[in-house]
Amino acid sequence: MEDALIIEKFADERTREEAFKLLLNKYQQKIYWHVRRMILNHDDADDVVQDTFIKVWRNLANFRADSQLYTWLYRIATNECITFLNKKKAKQNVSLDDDTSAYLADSLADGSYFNGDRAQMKLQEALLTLPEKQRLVFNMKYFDDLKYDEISAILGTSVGALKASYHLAVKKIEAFFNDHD
Amino acid sequence: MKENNTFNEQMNPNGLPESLRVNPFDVPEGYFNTAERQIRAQVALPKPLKASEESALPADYFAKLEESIFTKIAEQDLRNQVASTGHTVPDTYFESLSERIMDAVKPQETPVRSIKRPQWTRYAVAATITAILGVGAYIGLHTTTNATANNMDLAAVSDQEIINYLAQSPVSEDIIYMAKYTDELTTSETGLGTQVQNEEIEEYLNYML
Repeated sequence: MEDALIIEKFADERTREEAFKLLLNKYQQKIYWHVRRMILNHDDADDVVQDTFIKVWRNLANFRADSQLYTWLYRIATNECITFLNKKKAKQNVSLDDDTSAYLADSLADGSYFNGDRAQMKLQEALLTLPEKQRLVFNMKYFDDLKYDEISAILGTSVGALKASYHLAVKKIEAFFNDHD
Repeated sequence: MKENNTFNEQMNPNGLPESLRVNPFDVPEGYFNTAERQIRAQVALPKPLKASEESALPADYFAKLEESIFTKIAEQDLRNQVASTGHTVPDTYFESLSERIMDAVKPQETPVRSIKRPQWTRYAVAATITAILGVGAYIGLHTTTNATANNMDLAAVSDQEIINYLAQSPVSEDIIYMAKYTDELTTSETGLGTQVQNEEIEEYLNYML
């Protein structure tokens, strides 16, 4: 269903729930995987996804159609991820500037709901060496296959900066793979 | 056969033999039907870039192009090795996710639970109400009886007895004094307190303070 129709139905009190169910069916998996790639742990990702959609429910009536709905959803989800990771770091008494998050490494080592092979595990380890925003850009481009324009709208960063960030991320991952053969 | 639609149509027909006045050329079948469309398509094609228009490209475009190409190559190599993350979710996770989110966002109605009370509580409540009403009625009636009795007693008490009673109370001394003083007034024209001496007022004030 078209996003515009979902928004229109949501604006009407009588069809609000129906519209929200349609929105969930359309976007819940995309948002989940976006969050999961950042948070890694399934249970935490589940909490963040629910918080994301609760915020969507509360704010969708105020959504302005000057941006794409999925861009707006990704932005909320991304903000929720960053907030969650900052809280985790604060709890573990780790500096917010410190990108080597012990929490994420623990989540990866835990192995719950991870069925990847050696190469997939190595990619995850390589991703953990990236700064958080670079990891975000890489995930959106590599796995979600979003265009730079779309990532720019989500993160509020210029296309040029995103391209440079992605290029650096790929180079670092390539180097990581070469060093860990 | 005379060709009618040539520029020679208006020429003097006497100059050349009539047999030459033909158009020897032919066109592919349906040419004139498609010609217009082909011309329009040609017009719509973008013009080739001129040198001046090439300068409209970003200054570092070709330098970055090389970088972009190498990034694409590295990305493709990586995709060949790792196409997905390897993360999984519990079975039927996405089926239940929608329901859980809907439960979270829907306005929660406060459940009204009926408490099943034992039968004897009704009788206990009735007995308590009856007792409260009974005690209240008794106190009310008793108070009214005392008030009436007080009124009757006061009528029988003499003025002197009342004065004596009030004299026992320190707060009543002023009343006694004023009563005694008003009895001594001879004329109504002299106002209240005009015959009181200054010393007496001073003494009174010292006593009161």
